[in-house]
Amino acid sequence: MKRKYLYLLEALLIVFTLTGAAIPSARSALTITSRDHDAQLEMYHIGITLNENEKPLAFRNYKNEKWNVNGDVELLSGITSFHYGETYEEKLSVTNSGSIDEYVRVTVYKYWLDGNGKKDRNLDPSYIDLVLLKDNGWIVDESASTEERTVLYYQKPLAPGETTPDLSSSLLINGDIKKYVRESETKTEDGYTVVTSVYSYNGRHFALEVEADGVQTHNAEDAVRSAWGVSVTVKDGILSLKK
Amino acid sequence: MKFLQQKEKALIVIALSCLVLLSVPTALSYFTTYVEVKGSKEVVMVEETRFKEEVIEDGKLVTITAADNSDPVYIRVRVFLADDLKEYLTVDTGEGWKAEGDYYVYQTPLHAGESASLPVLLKGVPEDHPPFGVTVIYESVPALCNEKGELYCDWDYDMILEGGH
Repeated sequence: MKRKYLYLLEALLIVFTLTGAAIPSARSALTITSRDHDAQLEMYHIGITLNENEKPLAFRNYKNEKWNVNGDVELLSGITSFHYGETYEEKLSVTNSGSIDEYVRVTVYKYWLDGNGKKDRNLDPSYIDLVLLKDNGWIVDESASTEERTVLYYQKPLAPGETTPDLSSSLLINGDIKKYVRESETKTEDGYTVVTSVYSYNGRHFALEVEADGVQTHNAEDAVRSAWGVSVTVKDGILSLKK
Repeated sequence: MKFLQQKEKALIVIALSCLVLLSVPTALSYFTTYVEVKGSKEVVMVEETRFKEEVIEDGKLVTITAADNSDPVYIRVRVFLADDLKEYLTVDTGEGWKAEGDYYVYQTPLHAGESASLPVLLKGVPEDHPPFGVTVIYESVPALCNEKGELYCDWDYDMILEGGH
């Protein structure tokens, strides 16, 4: 009798294991079925490209069972020297460079660096101003954003090849930074009275770091929660953050 | 018998493990991607202004220049002279300058390499008037930048000098 139950348990275990292993890997792709499904499955790949000033800068695309990455590039490379009082064009946008629809989000980090190139937490990142654009489909997650970090979501699904509107327009240093003066000197030179002021932040380096994420639109709410740890609602295709 | 009992226990443990694994969210297989990129820049933040007075007919010409590497600044000038001479004072504001109270204010910020001149003239002073002096001072403040990148002026702007002064 006991042996009978043992065999039954073994059989159930085998069936359970085979069924359970098959379901997860198929679930994310098999939302529709058709005679052509097998052929279409081979073409599915996700990809994302970050654009700076309307030019592709960095991408990460999954194709032919491998990741194609171009990450060895730098932001702000078009700026030779950065002066206070000047406004520099910094238009950031995202392109879906994959073959499936996706939702995207962008996380922007801005901070000052010390002499060793490490983050200097003693200096105020709020003086670094990346001017964000509004009412164009990008929303800011205020609960996840700080003076150093801004998290933005694009509310609409991005079709393959489609590019979002710019999430930012320009980069500048905020005027409040001029509050701190390192030294001020007055002297006479060649008949001129010369007054020189050097500010505390003169010569400092700031960093701008951008991460763009993409996730499939199928089962979007679950996919976003799993991939990004954020609860969202998707209604009529429009993604909204849950409060 | 002992072997069968051990096998039973092993099967039960494996079955329970499978149940646990199957309960892990199927999200492990969602399609996701990301890309990261960064850059850094050095900030240049220095102001240097040069002030010069030149004697001209009937007065002096005051010229203020922002140095080639200077951040933009706003400037203003004030003229000090005896009360009985004020009626003879003429300051040709021309384009760019405007009288605001006791000051003559240049209306736009001086950017690097730019200059602004202001003629300070005294016309019709009686020849028997005792010798007199005219003092011209100038002030400059940094042009501040708002969130839209627009420069503006605040003459009451407080600054903190390192060292606490």
